[in-house]
Amino acid sequence: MNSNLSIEEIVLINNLLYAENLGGPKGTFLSPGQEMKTIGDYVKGVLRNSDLIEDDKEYSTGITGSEYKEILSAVGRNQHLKDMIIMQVHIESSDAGGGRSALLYDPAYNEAIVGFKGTEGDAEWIDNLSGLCRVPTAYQQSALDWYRSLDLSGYDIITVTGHSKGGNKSKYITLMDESVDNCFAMDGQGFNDEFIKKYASNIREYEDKILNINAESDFVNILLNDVGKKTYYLGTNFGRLGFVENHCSNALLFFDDQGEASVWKAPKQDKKMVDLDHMLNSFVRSYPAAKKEMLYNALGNIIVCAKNGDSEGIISSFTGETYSDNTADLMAFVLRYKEEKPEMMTSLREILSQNGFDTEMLGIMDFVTNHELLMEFIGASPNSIINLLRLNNAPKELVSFLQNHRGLFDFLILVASKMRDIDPTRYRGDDMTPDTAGGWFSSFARKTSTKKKALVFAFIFLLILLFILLFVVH
Amino acid sequence: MDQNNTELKVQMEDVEAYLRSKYPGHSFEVTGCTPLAGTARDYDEWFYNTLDAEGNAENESSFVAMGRINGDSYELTDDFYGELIRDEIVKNIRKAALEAGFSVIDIKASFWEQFGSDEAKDISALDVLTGKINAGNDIKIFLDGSALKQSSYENALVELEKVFSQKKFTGDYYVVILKDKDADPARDRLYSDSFTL
Repeated sequence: MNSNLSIEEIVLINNLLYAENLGGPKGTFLSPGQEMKTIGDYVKGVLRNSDLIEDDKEYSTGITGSEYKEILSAVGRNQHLKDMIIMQVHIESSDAGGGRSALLYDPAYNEAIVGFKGTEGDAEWIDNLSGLCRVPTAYQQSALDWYRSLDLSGYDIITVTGHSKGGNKSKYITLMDESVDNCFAMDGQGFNDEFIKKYASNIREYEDKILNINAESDFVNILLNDVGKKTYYLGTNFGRLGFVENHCSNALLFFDDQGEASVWKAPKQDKKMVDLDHMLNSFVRSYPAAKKEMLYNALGNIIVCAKNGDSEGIISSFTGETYSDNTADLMAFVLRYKEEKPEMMTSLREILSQNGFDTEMLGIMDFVTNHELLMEFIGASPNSIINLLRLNNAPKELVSFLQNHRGLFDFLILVASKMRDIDPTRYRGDDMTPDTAGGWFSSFARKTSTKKKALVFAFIFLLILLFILLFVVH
Repeated sequence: MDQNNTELKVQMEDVEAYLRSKYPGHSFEVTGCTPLAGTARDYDEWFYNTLDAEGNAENESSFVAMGRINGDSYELTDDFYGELIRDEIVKNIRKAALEAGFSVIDIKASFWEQFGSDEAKDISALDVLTGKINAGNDIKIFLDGSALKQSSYENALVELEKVFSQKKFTGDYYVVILKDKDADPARDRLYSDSFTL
């Protein structure tokens, strides 16, 4: 890797990519009107009207006006960043998800920096989830197409970077196009097993160019199989959005009294995230290919509903005909997995506490969900359960919620019935690599396949023994 | 999701009708939308192109209109007025700079503000340039550094600011001084800075 950017500078650039409408339209970094300005010009222009930036307003997911002021001030102190020129701003068509990106030019080192903003709107969320079963996704491909349309011939160094989905796009481009020298992916998700198998040779050849810069408790970089070197940094945010803030682009930034930005390496990845990573990988691998498309539609629906505050939409993902089979599969797997690996409950307790939830009931829920028969009993007796809750002075909102959503009791029965057929440790949960892709990993990673392998070896051994015996006798 | 798509289609037709009615001499084609759903924005972004007499798109990149829900109505704003006044604004700025002895290589003008259906129909370039109408003028001026008469780049900027100020121009001015008239606007920069009037 030969980039002249520091990790702090990369993180600051990725935060600028999210800056939108700070104090008015000229506060949007990824706007064609900024082309040919330096980053310093942009920052100066925005800070000139800093009184128009509302401190408490959230200008992009999880980042408030006051936080943006800190970020802009830190950029304003960095001459290297200030001298960079915004060469081109690109907005994908709505058919391609409306993703945004920019080509920056570092005149000090003749370095091109191609930056991709993270998930832009609901369409890109759906594309994120399609990464579970598609190789490549539509928006990964459109990012590559735009990258290839750029004239980068005059640059000595080419660097791609992005946060979240932007990080995933950066990694994809690095694996697909040999012109990239460096890739800095912040909290970007990985790729599915089929991708790792299909592009094993590209990954072997180019993954040394990729550096993953992850917050130690980020929950997006753990999705699917990662490629490239992974580094972990301390996260600063446990504020308004609780645990979710671990994925905000500014989570890595610390500011000193002078407003100087810095990042701090973490000793290792948060263990909760390691456990969650293994569970998700195991689940995705265990899920039938034919049902994956429907699963990602279900998850997409839940995320879009959650982002739009549509709680009825979320519930219908569990109780409605369209997705209940898939969401019950997922729920059954999660419950069986935590039964096998009780440490997941510790992680869940920690995450809920960080979000201000009361975790007192968690022990009872853990007990109930470890026993399918109990779940079936509860599911089959909605009236008794509701009455029992009422008699025990359960919150009125909870009682009324259950009364109005009796479909959740049927969902519980469905989950319980699916739990019996699940062996949550059947598939390995660690990331697939080009070396473990293909026959060896997929055949012998599974417990049952290991048994098969032992049987095959025993059978061959017996055959050889028989052959020797027959040979000796004769 | 289907209901959202139907709503978007209706809104798309509204955007086309809005543009046609506001700028009757021009043809438009709405090419897409980035809905506000899932973003921190409080408006939809609509992309559109202008069409020539044969119905072909005149521009490579689309223009942007914004749509906001306000009660029962869907309010639209746009910055297409910029296309109608840009040349005259550039002409005025170039003239002022040339008269003051600056060697101008290029001027790019853009406008940050968006206006609604009743605003900016018959907008005057001079009103925008002199700030009678606040359009958020954003002007980039590329000067030939080899032809500068001032003792320093900083002095050149101070003088240019004075000239524009006397003409009562308003807006943000980004001045880039290049090596010579054939210089690359990014790679051959000698100096750049900005001022606001």
